[in-house]
Amino acid sequence: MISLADWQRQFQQGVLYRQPPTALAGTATVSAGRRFEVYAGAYRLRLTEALKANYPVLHQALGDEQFDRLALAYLEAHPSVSSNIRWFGDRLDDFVRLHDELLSHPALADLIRLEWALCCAFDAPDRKILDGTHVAQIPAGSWPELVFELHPSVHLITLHWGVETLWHTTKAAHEEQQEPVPAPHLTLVWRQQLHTHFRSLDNSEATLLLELSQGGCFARICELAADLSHDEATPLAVGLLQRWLQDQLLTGCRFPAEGVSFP
Amino acid sequence: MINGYGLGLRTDHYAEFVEQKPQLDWLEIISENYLVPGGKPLHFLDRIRADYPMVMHGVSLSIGSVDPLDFVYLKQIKSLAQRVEPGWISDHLCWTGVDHTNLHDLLPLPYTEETLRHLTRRISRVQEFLGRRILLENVSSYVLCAQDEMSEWEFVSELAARADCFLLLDVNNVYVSARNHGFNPHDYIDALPGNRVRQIHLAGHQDNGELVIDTHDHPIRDEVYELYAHTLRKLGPIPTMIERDDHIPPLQELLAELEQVRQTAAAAIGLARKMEVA
Ligand SMILES: [Fe+2]
Repeated sequence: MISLADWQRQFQQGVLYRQPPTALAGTATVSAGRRFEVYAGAYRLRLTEALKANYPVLHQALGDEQFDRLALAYLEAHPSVSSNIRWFGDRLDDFVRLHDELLSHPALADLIRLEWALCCAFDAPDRKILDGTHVAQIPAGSWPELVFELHPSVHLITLHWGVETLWHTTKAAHEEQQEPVPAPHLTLVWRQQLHTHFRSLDNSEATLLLELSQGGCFARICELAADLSHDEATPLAVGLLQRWLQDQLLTGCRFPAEGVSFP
Repeated sequence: MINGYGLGLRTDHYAEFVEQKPQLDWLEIISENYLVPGGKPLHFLDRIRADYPMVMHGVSLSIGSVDPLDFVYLKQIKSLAQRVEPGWISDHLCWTGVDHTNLHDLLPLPYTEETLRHLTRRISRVQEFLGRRILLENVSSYVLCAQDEMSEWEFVSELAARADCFLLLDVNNVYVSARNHGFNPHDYIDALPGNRVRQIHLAGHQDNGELVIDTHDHPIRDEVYELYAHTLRKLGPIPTMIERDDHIPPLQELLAELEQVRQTAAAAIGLARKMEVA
């Protein structure tokens, strides 16, 4: 008599390694093995589809055959442990670092990082947005101490290739793909209302936004701005802050010393 | 109060539900699609819920697994239910994985006394935790355990009584399993405790001859309409919906298909009433 636990372990092993378990009932017309294959096949198909849903541009860039090879290798190394299939593929970035032979171009590792960040931004928590009117109410004397909070959808990712162009041309299904060029930089990924966005940052914006994301106060951001642009430090810091407000990257600010928060 | 005929809410149709508010009795949501922190899914859920009654249908409860119940997941379900105020919460009579792996499939259980006991205990704990009775759905299957001690319909009926839960009857799944295992689907329907069947699923499948696959990517087939009519003649009117998960057609097409369901039901119930009078 097979126990329920043994049935499940044997069945699962069977699906994972494509080996029908022994305790199956077949019929004269359809063998147990062929019946079991419905589950083993559907498993691979379903998880591959789930990975495609999270990495649509990578799928397009690789094409069906190569994407499927990557998906099956990943699935073998990292079967899903989440109750929600939506998170399948969360370790693809790490996985391809060890298996770059599965990618046709090293820049595609960056594409993976970009698509996963977009995926996380898509359904990140909702927050109230800090807008210009809130900021206008902040007393001038409080500015140096001010610490800003980023929207939870904001991701700053380090990329080594200019994959943003690749993303756009692949998505638009352009015939002529330009080879991505090596270009280490920081890319900002975020959600504005219901729509996800990304853009690569120049050195000034990258430096200041990174500092802000790490909890640096406004005075510290201005110091860094002065290092970057001695004469134009204030316009640089203020200009970027305005842009971040417009992009709805900021959800609030606080004065740590006084324990006060805005809004 | 959920009555009449519904559809599964799919992202393809979000905009139409928001802008055109087509006439429909209720919607079923896949709970997992909304177990996310924020953004589009929850935005549209709230907007559409304002206009339509809803029921919640999960795929990850894994009620039959020998792994411990996932109370993190159950807490998420409970808080989603506070947001949605669903007519009821359902999941499947299956397991989805063991040893913390999730195969994301609705896998078959051995129909044995041991499984009955295991399920009864777990359903009770879930119902206690959620503070309500749940509906469990029969899944389609392609293999059976060589050591089954009873038929699927005996198993399902006994379980519903012991665990004091409700049933979501997927008529297409009964048809698919009947074909795959060579039983008479009427035997299945006729054995069910009618008072426990609270919802019906209808869907399309793929007939490969020897094996029938539950694909949810086609319109409902005539054989399933017939079995549906038989079900209603036996059990009386039950809230019914169409499940479509792949090759999702325009909403108008699904609404037209639902009209056909409604007519099938009206004819079947009318006929059953006439037979009662006679
Ligand atoms: Fe179903």
